[in-house]
Amino acid sequence: MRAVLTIIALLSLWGCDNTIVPLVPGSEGHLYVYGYFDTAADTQYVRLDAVRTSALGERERLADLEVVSFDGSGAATAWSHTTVQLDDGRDGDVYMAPFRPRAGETYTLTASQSDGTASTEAVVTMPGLPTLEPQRPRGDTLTLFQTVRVAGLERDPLRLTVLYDVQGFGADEPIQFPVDYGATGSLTPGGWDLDVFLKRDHTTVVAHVNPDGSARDITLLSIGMRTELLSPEWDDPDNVQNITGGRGFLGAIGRYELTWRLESAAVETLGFLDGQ
Amino acid sequence: MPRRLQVFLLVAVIAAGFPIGVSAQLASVRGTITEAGGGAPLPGASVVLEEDGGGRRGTLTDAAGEFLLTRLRPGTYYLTISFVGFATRTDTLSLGFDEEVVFDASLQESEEVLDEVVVEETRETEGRSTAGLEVVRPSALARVPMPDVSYDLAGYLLTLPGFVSPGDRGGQLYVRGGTSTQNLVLVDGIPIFQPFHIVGFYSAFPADIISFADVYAGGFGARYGGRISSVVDVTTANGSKERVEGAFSMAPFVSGVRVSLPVEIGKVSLTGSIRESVIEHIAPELLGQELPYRFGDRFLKLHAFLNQTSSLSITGLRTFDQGNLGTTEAERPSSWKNDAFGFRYTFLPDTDAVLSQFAMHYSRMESFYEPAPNVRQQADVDAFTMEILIAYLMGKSRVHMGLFGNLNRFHYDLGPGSRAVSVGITSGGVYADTQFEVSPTFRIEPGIRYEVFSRGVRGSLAPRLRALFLPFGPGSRQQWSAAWGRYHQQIVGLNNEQDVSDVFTIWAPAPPNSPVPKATHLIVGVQQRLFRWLELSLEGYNKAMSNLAFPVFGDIPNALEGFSRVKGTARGVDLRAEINRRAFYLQLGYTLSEVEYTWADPGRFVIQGVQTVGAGDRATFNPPHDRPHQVNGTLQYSIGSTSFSARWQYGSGLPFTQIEGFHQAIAINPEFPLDALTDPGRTNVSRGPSYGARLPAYHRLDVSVDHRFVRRRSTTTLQAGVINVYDRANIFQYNFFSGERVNQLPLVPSIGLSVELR
Repeated sequence: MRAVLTIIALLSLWGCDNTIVPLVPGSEGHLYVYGYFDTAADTQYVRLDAVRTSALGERERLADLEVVSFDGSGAATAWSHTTVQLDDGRDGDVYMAPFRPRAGETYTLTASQSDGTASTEAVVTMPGLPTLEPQRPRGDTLTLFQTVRVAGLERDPLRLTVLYDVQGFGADEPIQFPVDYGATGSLTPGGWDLDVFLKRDHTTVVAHVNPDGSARDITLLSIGMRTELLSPEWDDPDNVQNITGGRGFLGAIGRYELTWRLESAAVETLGFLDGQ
Repeated sequence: MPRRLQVFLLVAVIAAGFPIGVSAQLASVRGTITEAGGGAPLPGASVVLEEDGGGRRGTLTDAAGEFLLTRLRPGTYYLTISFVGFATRTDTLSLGFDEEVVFDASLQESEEVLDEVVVEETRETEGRSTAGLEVVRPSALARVPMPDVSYDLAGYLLTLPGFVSPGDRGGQLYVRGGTSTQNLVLVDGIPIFQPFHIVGFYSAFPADIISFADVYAGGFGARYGGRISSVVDVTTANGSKERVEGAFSMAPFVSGVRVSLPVEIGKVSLTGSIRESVIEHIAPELLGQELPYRFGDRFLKLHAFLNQTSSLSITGLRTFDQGNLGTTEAERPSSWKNDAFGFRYTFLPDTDAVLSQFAMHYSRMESFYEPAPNVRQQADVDAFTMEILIAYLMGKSRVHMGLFGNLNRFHYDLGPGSRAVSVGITSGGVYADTQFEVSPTFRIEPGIRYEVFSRGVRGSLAPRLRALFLPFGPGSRQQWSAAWGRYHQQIVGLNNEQDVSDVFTIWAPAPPNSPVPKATHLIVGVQQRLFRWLELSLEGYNKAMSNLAFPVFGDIPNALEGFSRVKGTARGVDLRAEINRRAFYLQLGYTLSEVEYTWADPGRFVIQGVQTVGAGDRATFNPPHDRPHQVNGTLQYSIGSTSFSARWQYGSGLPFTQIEGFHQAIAINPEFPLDALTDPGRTNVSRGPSYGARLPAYHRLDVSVDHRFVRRRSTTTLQAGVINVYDRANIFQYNFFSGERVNQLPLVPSIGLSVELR
């Protein structure tokens, strides 16, 4: 009997710890990062949110937070805090920094409590600058098109826009006419292949810049493409792997404009004057 | 209609035309052995039934002096009751089929001292557990302190090694790694879909209607099917055919009344029972907290000897449960009710040792649950069962054959965003469950079960085998037993296993043209009686399970994302020591076990109208009912008419999934990325590794003192007890949504009164 009581006492002592640890250890100081770096913007923004231990609790405002980003060379940029009004009327914490990210550069964003108790880090690499590999134009006068490969892409682009710089319809200044191709095309081992429908675009451009048909000669000054490319984080935004000590989403958008030369014969077939 | 089903139905119709039959419900004898003069019970007295033809069965009385011998063939028996220091008593008993005989006896003290070895030799396997099987007698239930003077089967089951409950409310029972929807609970052969009340230590039926219960923690024979974990087969008492008997009890949790009366003297009896909870009314004063649960049950049974060769029993059970499984601020009302009806006709020819039985059962469960405001979920299930049972009694060998058909209908509606589903399924099959005594020391029980289903649900062929080895012959102090079998479950219960308070279960057919949930059990056990009063047992088991449906949760709080397919293994060792010395009874049990699930490939568990998801984030994990260490201690000590009972339980913490916290999830659209800066977002939860942490350990001490005032026609029992003596704050659930911890019952004093009239 004594042995039984001893066992009970030992087990009771062993089971004395009656606390529940509902949170994953270390997750109390986690921050949620939402934002993206944009090569076309002079100021970058991210929104930071504190983790809450209860769903019913009010959102905690951030205080004494130090947010810094580093580029690939280790150069630091301090981010400043601003309060924004959210769509539901409550306040949110947004941090911003005045810089324009460079193509292919890797940036590390750190958000640390001033007392050093917790730190959240997100690493993002800007999409690299692609190159254009135009193939020979194909088709006849009515169907002329050209396949242009955006070399180096490994995923669908956000958007591709073909840019026509034209002149000679009464105005002295050339104008740039964009034709939105969205994310059409196909992914190939070498990049993204886009069929640029030159004749269709010519018709569109002419109808736009010379609707009454008064101008006889329209000069094509250049043809180019604006590529809006996404970092890998956009593939599965709910499961990003580039944030440690927190969660959320930090991605990157690379917006780059590139040109190529269209063969003179093709320019003439279209009905433009070749001013390239 | 599938060809196999057509063939089966043809066979069923042909078979039904034959005058075949026997009963799984043979005769039984129970009684109480007391000391002449004082009337004190005599635990450990030897009770031996010797058949006129030579067969012999025996048992020992338990701590209350009670004994039970079941599954006895009709015939004439010589009953011998003996105990050291007392004069041996012999008597003759004539048992009819389906008869339940009560035989109480008092032994006179004697100068002559019996040879203990002789007494030991008469004890065979009756009363001993064998390979997962435990025969539970009503007297055993009384050893477990409850806040209710009438005791309960559920409270007793939780003292058995390998039986795990996540808490004292909700009504879920996990048996050796199986889940609550994998248990088959039968009351007089009728399946009960939710066999426990919302306050989890109460069964859906009162204890005092129970004659005995076969509890299989695994390794059950071929007569049982449709579940892959365990079987609790309750046989209710037939009631008195000679005089009016009854009882009533009053206690702070439940009060009830039972009446048994002869409709026709010696031939027809009627037993009725009503229980109703009262705790919801007195909890604020008694416990200092609300316990908003209301439950109750009604039971009615008619048993009749129609003539010399046939009998009929009709059983009805109705239960109801309702309560708030949430908090006062965030209510989650839940309710369910069972309706179960069945009749059984038993026929014994004058000339053949062949019994036949025809039974029909109908069971229905309706349940409602509101997990969130304006989200009302409903799940109903209807089951209609027909059985023809045949038993050939050939000396010490038996062959049981059964033919059965089932019609099931399911209806469920998961609320907004889903569509209501109504679906039916038909099945039929045959089984053979046999018992052969190869030698006086070795017995095998091979069996096989075959079942086919409609709607493309895969059928199953399930072999079973049980064996018993007595190395030193009948009366051996040592006993080895083993069980092996394959089990299938074509009707599955889906519920939110992560939330212990959520007992809402969708019953539905297993996915068509896909593997159905199945398990293979292997159990090996040994029992050794070291002394006349001390028995040790050791049992090891392994359950290999596959194609189980397991809930998966995403990042929306309190929302079940869907079900995925897992496979699992439950393995463990149960150790038990039982001391039974006259007025003193002590049982100590320890279980060392592990339940492990692995996400299966392909991971989708497709149920019509229920969302399915892919595999979770971890390849292998311990599910929320994995309790590696469990200790149970039950003690009873009697002095005269007063008995003291105590139960102490310890269980290591159950797994749960930690969270990293809540946050506002914002969907960033690359087309309009700046919107993210002002989007208020949706409240999401980030979860840690699945079931990567454990709750605190559970332990609790319950005690009670009973005093019985025995009169010639009545017994009055006064009970005082305390549940959770040292007021351990055992966790029941942690509400992540509100950050609120809800504990199980605190220290609960109770006082009860029961009066039994006979």
